[in-house]
Amino acid sequence: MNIRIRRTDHWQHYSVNLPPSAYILDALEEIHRQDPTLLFRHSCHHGSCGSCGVRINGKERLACTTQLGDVLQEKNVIVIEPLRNFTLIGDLVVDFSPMFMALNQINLPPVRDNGLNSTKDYQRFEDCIECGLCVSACPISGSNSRYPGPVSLAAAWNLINFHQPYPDHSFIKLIDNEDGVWRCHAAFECSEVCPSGVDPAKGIMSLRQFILIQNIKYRSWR
Amino acid sequence: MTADQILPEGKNLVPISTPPQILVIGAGSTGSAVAYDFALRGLSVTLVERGGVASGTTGHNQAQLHSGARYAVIDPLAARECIQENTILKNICPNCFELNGGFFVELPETDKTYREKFLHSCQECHIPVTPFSRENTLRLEPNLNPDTVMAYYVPEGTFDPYRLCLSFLTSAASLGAKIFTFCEVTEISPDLTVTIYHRPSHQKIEKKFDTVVNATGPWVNKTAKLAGVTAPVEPSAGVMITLRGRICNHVLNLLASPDDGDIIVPQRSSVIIGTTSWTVDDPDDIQIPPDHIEKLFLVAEKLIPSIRNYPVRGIMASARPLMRTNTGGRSTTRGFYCQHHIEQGVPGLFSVIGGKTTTARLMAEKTCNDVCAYLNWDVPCKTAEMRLLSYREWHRFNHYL
Repeated sequence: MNIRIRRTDHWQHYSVNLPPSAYILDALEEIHRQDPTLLFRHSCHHGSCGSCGVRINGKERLACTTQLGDVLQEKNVIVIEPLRNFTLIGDLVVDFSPMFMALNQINLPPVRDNGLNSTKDYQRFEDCIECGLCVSACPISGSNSRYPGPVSLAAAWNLINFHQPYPDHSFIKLIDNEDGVWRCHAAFECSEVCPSGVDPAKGIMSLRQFILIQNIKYRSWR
Repeated sequence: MTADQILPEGKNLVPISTPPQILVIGAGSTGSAVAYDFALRGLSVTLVERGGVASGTTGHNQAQLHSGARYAVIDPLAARECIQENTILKNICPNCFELNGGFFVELPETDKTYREKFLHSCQECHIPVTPFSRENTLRLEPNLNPDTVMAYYVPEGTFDPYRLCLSFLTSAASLGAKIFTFCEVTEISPDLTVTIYHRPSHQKIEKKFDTVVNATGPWVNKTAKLAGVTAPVEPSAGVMITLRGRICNHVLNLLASPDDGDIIVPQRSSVIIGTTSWTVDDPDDIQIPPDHIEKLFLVAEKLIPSIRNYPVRGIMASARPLMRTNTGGRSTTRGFYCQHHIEQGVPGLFSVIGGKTTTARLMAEKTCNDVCAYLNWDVPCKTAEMRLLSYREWHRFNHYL
């Protein structure tokens, strides 16, 4: 099958011979054997590290969990491009720094205690794998660089939901402004592309509700 | 902090000694931990990786934080190292683990003599084991085989290998280490002049180092060959299957001599079944044998009978860097050692042979001890006490793409 990849400054065609059950990442690794100059990031190969996000036929997906057969278009062509709304480093690799800076401000602990009735501690990682797909799909992230992005707003809601039922003022001030939680215009693309079931759009809407209620209850907040 | 930073330029101070220049090859768990260890000891470190962070064996890994219980019977030394490192890693890097605990599950067909050997060996290796009754285990693990007789709780967990490497690298970079991803080593001359190919810009640079540490896991022999020497590593591939759904809450091990498919590790909203084992020549070219997938399901079914009902999320394979011995296969040791290629005519080139992610910090400590002895750099290891920085700080230091 034919794979068309957006390289740093040109489009390039490759041809790979793989079954439809193979994953896009298998195809990228096969292409890398043909052409070692291709740059792409990958690590876990099972949708857990969040490093291999790309746009496949225009839609944000993880290369490691997307099967070739699911995305094959007419004429056996698959188009692979880097994520949008990040600075391009080269080929399919983008710079996630702004996303991590925003996440750092929210500071959601990556591990959550579970309420299982266990004699021992039972923990789990937050569902969000910080892969940047939602930021790439978000129309606001593309047009407003001050917008923290769906990933950070979803993290803020998880922080309130699981860790801090009564967050302090400074935390709320970070997101309760025109470039924050109120800037979302409800395209819901983020939830559409999330590979980990986080549903950032629901998080953003819940956050609005929470902040609205707090603002009515305690007017002095603002 | 390096001596350069302690003694700023132009201050007309006599430096006590200039730190030696060290090159670490590979940004998997070993290379990342080695770079961090050197940086903490005040040496000047450069790390190069041909791909992204943890894009080799460390990344494609079953993500089990071992307690050592699995190795207690067949490899007590590896077991002791695992339980010691398990405790240290939880302290220095709390954000990279799901500390769920693990069960060794006894089924009616379990060999009773193996159980006794297992319990005795765990005690010998100081691995705490708590017996759980059938009812209590099934309450915590409703999907577990209802024929379960007993289960034995051990302090295991799940890690995020990518974040663990980033934490080591971030901490190393904060101490002045230079980290370059997408940079491939193409030549190593006997005087340790190394040619590095920067893949994004297609440029080659040459630089001379005082010491080169080859921490490329199963690729260690391939890399050593660039310098005209060999390293005794046996790449042993394994297949893993990831299923969608949090089917179990704890790490589940079959109480039996280690075999294919007898571990199920939960991670976030998925579980990973692993692994099989066969020797490959080239870790860059692993073809998954179709029968291995069925093999994994057959054994995993003994632990969770309904396991085939869950959708497959991914199938992956990677090569473990086992030490080459005469026996081969699963009995090959999980241990490690650091080889100095001085007898082969390349003084200053060190290769880390073997090991596993759970013991990466210890491997780094021993490797750095050997290198520091060679360089007469008398600073002790501090990695067991210092807390690592969060992986989310990585962007602050990631300027060297």
